[in-house]
Amino acid sequence: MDNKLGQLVKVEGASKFYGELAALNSLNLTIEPGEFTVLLGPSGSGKSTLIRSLAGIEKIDQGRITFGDEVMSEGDKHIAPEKRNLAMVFQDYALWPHLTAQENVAYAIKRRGFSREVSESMVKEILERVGLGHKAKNYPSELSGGEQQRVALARAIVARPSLLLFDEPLSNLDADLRERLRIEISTLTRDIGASALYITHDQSEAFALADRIGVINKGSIEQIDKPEKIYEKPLTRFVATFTGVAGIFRGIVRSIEEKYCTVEMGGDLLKARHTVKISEGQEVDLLVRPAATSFADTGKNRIDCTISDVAYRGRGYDHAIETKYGLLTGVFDEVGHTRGDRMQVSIDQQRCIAFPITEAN
Amino acid sequence: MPLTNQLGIHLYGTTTLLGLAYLAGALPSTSRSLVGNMSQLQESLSEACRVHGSSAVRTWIDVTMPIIAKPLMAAFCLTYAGTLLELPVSQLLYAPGSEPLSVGIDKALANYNFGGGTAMEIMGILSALAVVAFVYSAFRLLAPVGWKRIGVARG
Repeated sequence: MDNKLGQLVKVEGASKFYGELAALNSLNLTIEPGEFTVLLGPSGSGKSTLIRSLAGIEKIDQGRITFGDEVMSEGDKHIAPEKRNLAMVFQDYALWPHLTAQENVAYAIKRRGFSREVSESMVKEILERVGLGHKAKNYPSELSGGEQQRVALARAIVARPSLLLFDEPLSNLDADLRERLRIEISTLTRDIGASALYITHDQSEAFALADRIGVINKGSIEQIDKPEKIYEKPLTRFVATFTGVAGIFRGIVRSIEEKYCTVEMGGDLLKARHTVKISEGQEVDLLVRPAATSFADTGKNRIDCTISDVAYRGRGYDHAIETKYGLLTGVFDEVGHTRGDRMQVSIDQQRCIAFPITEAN
Repeated sequence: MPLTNQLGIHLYGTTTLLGLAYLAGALPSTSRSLVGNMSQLQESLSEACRVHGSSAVRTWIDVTMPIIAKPLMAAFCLTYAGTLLELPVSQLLYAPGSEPLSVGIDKALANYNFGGGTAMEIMGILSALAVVAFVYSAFRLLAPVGWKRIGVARG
């Protein structure tokens, strides 16, 4: 294969079965050259199975995977992982314990057939780039979790593969380290121009990293689009719920005006958006985004509430509030209120989305 | 052994048959001693090797073997020491004129040659210890530093 960076990756109708269970269910995905795609989904949704199928570690039972013009997996044809010109960063780092940091990184570049001097120089450069030049001779057991993951990242990038796969690489790290490493992953990957597929169950990580986010559920992708579109215009209830919801209220649609609807809940009327078809008189759930809520005195969409919990967040306070229609969490204010206080909460209609109720709800 | 004779394989009365019997006897216990180590191997280590450009065989040589080198070595020494003085199978299957050490010791003791029998036993034990010492010393001297670090607890 050519060593061109950032190639087109296509998954068409991919299915993978474990007995009766469909881990992948006719899944379709396209990763444009140089694009950073994030797959966001809960445990068991099929994201690990997909990434392992792309890597060639697993074989799909149906469908096709192509890199550029070349078929990687289809029917009996299955190109081995070592021939796919890709690299992967694993959740458990997967550093070889008998090799130093330098040797771990150097191993990945062997396949390029460079001279020893060139390889050593590339290894040194990439370790400096991830801030571990001074720990090149350390073994993995002598490195912290964050350092190990940076070595794993250096190992993935050093050979400049055309496709980079990230299997929840930040899950085992603490919050502060996660943010720092996320930035390194984002900048390094984009610097080399490789196509990338990153899987995570953390929606804030997904939104921060992605050119496009695919929300995956039960083996198929429910929606794939830019982060802003996913957040503002979720097309299914699952996508809306999984990308951040402060609370869910149930009501009846009283009127519909183009993109908006008025929903009656008990004695209150709330205006909300809708991204799927609904009709007057229909029972709906209002999914309220955390950013939709405030204690401001302005705004028409206001309902009574009682403060049930307060959490300090450094820049302010997150409140959990009880309303007649349910609990809302993540209501932010710079000033902390007291548990038991009665107040009114304002809900921004732009960030409150109505979805019809289905049997599953 | 009519079936193997028909196939042109003549085993009965040969040291080859004795070797095969030792193998069959040692495999269960030796395998069992390696099961724990093999089951603890992180799959992601070999998967990482494959996705970073190595074939399955290369992965075994470069990643799996170094990690299980010490357990393999221990299993070999255990098997060698256990097989050196093995008696029942040796008595049944040894080739005439090629008596294993254990059969020799048994014959000496049966003929009241206690001095000779005991001397052979001690030589057998010392040789087993020497082989174990040689194997561990060779590993200590010749194995890469990284191989020796695996399985060693560090404070």
